[in-house]
Amino acid sequence: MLKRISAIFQAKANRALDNLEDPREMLDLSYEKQVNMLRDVKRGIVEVTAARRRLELQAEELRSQLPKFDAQAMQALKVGREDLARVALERKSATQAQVDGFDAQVAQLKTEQDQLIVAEQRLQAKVDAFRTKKEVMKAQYTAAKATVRVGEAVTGLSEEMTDMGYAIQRAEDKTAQLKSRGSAIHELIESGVLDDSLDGSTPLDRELEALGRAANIDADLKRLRAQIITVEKPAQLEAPKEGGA
Amino acid sequence: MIVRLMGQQGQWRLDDALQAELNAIDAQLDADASAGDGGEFAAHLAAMHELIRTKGSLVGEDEFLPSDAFVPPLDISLDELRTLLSSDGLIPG
Repeated sequence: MLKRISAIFQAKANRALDNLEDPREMLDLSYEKQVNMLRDVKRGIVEVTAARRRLELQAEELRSQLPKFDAQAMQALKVGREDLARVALERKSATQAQVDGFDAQVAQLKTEQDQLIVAEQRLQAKVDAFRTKKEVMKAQYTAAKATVRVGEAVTGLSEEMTDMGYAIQRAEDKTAQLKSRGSAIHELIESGVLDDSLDGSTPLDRELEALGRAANIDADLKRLRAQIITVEKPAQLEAPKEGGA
Repeated sequence: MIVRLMGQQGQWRLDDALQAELNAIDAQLDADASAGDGGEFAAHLAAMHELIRTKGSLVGEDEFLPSDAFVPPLDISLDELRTLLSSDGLIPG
């Protein structure tokens, strides 16, 4: 396995070395190329960091949805439907586990991205060191010996940059995977907590939904009664007693 | 011998005498990957990283050397490994 991976890296480095007759020219071109790549690296890190921040916001938003399940369970208990309350709480528990897992993965991603920032600074130092080194090598240039040493130095730096590119690509992939995961949890919450829609819901969902509607109607009735009491307090308080008597 | 721990974990200088030990773990990694055994693969990969970090010394920042071997990142999955090995086009740069 190590040999196969090495072959992949070496093929890349060799492509960088092809088509160049003069090692001095190779040093300059390689340096320019790495400076450009370093710019891409910095941009890549800015992008994955921004994407990760969005994931953190998404995690917060998902967590803020969890109390909806409690409200649903409460409604069910109020009308003596412990079975439905249990269903709502089971959904809450399952969703909570998903949200916790998501949080942990986003936190892990942050750690990895912080490491990338450190690596990028190290790479910047390395590219700077290469600039000095290439001038020394050019000054000491003797054709026969130089080719091998230049080749090694160029390969070494190119390898470093390739590995950095790989690390950033992995960070991008992980970020994208987490984004899908966040969306999936969001859908889970949407389908578990029934606010407005009845589309595609199961009978239990419908019962919970009906309870929710009943609770809303009860709340409305209570509110309206309270208004009537406020407006026509004496008459309304007397009325039921008169009717009953 | 120069070995690179991929994923920006640095280049390490190792005594050539360790080659046999590294090759033995590498053979296990190949077997784990062929068998699709992610757990064993992760364990052997961790052992390889550990061996390199404890027995090797980190190459200095002002040194520019090609590596003799590349070790995948510690948390690579078997799927990712297959992608890595399937095409060199997937590593940018």
